[in-house]
Amino acid sequence: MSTPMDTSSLPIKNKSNQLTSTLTTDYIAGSDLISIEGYRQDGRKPNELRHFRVSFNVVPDADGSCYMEHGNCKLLATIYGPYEGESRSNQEQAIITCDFSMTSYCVSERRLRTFGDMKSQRLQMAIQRVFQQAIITETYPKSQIDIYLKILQSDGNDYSPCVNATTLAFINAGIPMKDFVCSSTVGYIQNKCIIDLNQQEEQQKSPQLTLTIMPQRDDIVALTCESRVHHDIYNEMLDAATRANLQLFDLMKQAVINQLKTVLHVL
Amino acid sequence: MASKVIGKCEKNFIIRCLRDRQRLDHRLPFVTREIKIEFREEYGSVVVSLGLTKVLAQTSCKIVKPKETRPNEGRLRLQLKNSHTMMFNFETGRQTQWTTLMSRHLLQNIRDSGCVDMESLCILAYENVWEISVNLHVLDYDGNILDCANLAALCALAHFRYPAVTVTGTDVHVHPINERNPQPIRILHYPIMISFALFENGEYMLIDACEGEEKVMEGLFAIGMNQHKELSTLAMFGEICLTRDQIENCISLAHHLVRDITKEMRDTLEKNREEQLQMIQTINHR
Repeated sequence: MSTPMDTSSLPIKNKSNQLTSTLTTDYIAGSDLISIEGYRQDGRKPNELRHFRVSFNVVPDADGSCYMEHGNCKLLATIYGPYEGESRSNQEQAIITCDFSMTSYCVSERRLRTFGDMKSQRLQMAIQRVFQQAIITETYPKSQIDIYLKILQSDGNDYSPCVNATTLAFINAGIPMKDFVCSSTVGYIQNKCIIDLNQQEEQQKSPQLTLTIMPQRDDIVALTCESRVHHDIYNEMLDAATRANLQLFDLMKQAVINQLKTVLHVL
Repeated sequence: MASKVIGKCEKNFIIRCLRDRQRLDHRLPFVTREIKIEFREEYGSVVVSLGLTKVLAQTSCKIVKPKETRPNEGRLRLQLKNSHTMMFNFETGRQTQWTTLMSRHLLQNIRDSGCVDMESLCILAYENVWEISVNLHVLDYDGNILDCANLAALCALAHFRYPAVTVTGTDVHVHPINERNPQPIRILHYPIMISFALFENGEYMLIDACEGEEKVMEGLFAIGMNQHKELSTLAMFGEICLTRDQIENCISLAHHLVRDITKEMRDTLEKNREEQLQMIQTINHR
């Protein structure tokens, strides 16, 4: 484990560049995103995750499946495989494909294009890339593993809950993995790092970071930063994101252990 | 990334050279190739070469209705196009997966980081805003499209001028060039992108990989940063993981390079502006 940076001992400098700072949208009209008492719009503290609930084996026909509720984001991850790949498949490793789609009722306005659009394609490529590294593909040469993701209710960022749900679905399918893969977002609003953004907080033009790590191996699998953020603030956000991911990892591990207990009737 | 067809002996040679800290063109591992910025006659038209990689950027503008979610901001479009002149097995015309990915990261770097002041492009809120489109064409490919295209897009935006507009009530009048000088776009900061090619599970890193090195690399880590050490974008391609310390190293290395590149870009822009002023003065004196 790398030693966490202790940023609280450093003197707090004025980090924003006054001439070109665009931190004018910290406050939405009429209400703050973080109230004076320190609570966010949905009643959470800045370092609290959203409500997390997991069910396994929801699709009995599949090799592994997981239904996940992460706050208001509800999604279904299904794994089929490993099965015999096509003739052009890789001779030494398994191929992982990902199919992402949303239902038309997942957002408040009825969605007409539920699959194949830009966002779905990007997410598919990202998830395929992440799990190609996380799965021990050498154990299944010449085969193919399919990931199917379905968003039943969307609340802003879909990528992080998808990664978490896919990890749990793979564990349910019994496919060997190098480590769990946890992902969460972190934002920087009103000089505080807030973790696990929901849709309202994500639509602000504040700095955001999405971190995907393998917690026990301490490896960063994917890191995306989508707005201008100073290096010092970026370090703070990275710390907060790592803490959030470790919290998520505990929750996920507990869910897997509970599932094992119920399955093996060990109380 | 684009095409992984490479001979085994070539691949082994490049990796062995890496272990001895040597590169094919005798560069140091953390040095970019020579950058040449050529502004062309039209505003917003520039050819940027990074070594042998060349990208042409063309900018145009038009007046459109703004997005409903952002009614008082202008719009920015960025498109990256390949061509057969790059590599024989590149697909022309429709966007391939790889090109889409590059295009998306470029757009993210330039638009989402707040490089261009979008509110200054607004003419009449909810009705008319300027839409700036930057078209990037890859003229010659020798590795590292991302950095070169990003620099080309930034230079094009910095060089471009759009017509002046007067609004009287709800009446919008666009002044042609002979009536009023066109205005430059307000650019708040220059997010330069630096790409790190990763080899052997992150053990060896190279900045600005040429074509041969790109075919051998296992992953790419791109950092978008401006000279004030503000990160505008971070992206990882390929199947590679990094530790936090490696990312820190990359960021410090990139910062040094970004400062030099920004200075060079600004100098070239200034020189170009002075040349244009001189040209206008000679025309006026005739």
